[in-house]
Amino acid sequence: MDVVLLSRLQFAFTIGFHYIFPLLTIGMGVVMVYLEVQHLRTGDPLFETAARFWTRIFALNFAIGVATGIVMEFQFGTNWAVYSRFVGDVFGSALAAEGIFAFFLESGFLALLVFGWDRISPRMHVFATLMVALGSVFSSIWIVVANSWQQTPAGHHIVPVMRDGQQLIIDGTPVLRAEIVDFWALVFNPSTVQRLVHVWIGAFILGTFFVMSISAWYLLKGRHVEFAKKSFSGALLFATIASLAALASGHFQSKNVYHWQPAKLAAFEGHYESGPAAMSLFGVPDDSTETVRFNIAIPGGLSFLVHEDFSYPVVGLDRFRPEDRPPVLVSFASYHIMIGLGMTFIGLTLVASFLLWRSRLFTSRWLLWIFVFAVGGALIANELGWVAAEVGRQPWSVYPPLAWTADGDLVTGHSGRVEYDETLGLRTRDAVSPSTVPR
Amino acid sequence: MGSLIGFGFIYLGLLAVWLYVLDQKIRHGPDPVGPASRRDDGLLAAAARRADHTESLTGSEGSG
Repeated sequence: MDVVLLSRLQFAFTIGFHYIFPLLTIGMGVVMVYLEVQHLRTGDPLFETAARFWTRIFALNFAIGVATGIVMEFQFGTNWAVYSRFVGDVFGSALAAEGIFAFFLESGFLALLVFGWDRISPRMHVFATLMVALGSVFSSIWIVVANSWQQTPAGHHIVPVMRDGQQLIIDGTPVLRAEIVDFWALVFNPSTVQRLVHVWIGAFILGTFFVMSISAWYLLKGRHVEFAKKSFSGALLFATIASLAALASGHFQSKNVYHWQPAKLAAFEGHYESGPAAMSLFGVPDDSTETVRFNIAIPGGLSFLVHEDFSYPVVGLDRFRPEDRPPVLVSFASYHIMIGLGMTFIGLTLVASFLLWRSRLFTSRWLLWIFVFAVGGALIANELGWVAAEVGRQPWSVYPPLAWTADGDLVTGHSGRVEYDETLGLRTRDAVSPSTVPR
Repeated sequence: MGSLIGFGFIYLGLLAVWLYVLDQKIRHGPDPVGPASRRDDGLLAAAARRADHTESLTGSEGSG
């Protein structure tokens, strides 16, 4: 099998597994803070019982997250040495910031959170819980900054790698690397904020569905019923807000993707030919015919999504050379399944909220059974979000910049195709460790 | 391919540990908490108790 594909699969597998745990800690952190504040406010010991229980689960998730994260990082050297050399200055800063500003905060207060229940005051314990929750959120900021820089690089320039005062040249090609020139431009690169908000919302959905899954199980089994009701109700509140927010966030995220990575959005929608574009609800993209088979679509929907105009032209995959296009089938499928699951979460949480309001939620066993397993859907939706983002970035490890005219069209070269500045982009194939690529 | 298999084994092991411990914690469930189970004397008092060695944060005191 192709070494590049194997390297991608390995990284996808390890990051996909690791990714579960930061999301869970971010999402559960919100629920824990809520339960502790409620305990402080009402004095109801049931809130404390719930907070203590979820703290133990949180600590487990945190520990596995750390273990999987450490193992994962070795691959930057084993499989992605050229990539690491190219981006090391940028990634090193973001990952160091993650360790200093986020991980230390989270880890330090975790001790108070886990072991401090009967040893520090409730107010201090709430503060420790808040710091741990904030630490997990800060951690995500720097990881998303690093990843967003791959999608929409900014705040850097490209310089030659020097060895003993001489420019390093391998096989006649100068070796280059990215160097930071504006740290805050890097941090606030064009996609950071939008992607970060979407990741947080995804994390809140997963964390709250995780809490609701276990709580629903207890309710169905008739165990720890009052505790489970408190936990479920608190998590449902945040899950409903997060599910609705995901819709709005996803909309703005799509518009941003179109502006900076139009090939990616075209792949998400199977939009092969530039022009007014439909929004596909279901289909199977076929690269050989450049059509979407079995397509069910809203006419003009994609044009409206991007331009608020049902007939406005949208850049399609035909504006990109075949070698510059992302894999369409995987991008399309992951994007559409994620959205389908997101819409399901909205329906589920609204129905559950209505039944809670009518005092019928905890006797609706059919719905509780759905919630037991719905956490799997939340997990899949989050994973597929990353699959869509990362596969849609291909064939680039670091995406080259694109330019638009004042008329809102892509700048094209003499062939009618987009001309990249190759020195600013890093193709995935070129990023693999050279020692592992057969020559 | 070798490193893929190696990483696969490591992550499957971590998955097994996570699922096992999670299952244990869910089966055990929450421990009921009484209304007067917590101290309200602040962080400094807690630190002072630690300095006095009167209690352990991990509950593993008394070995020495």
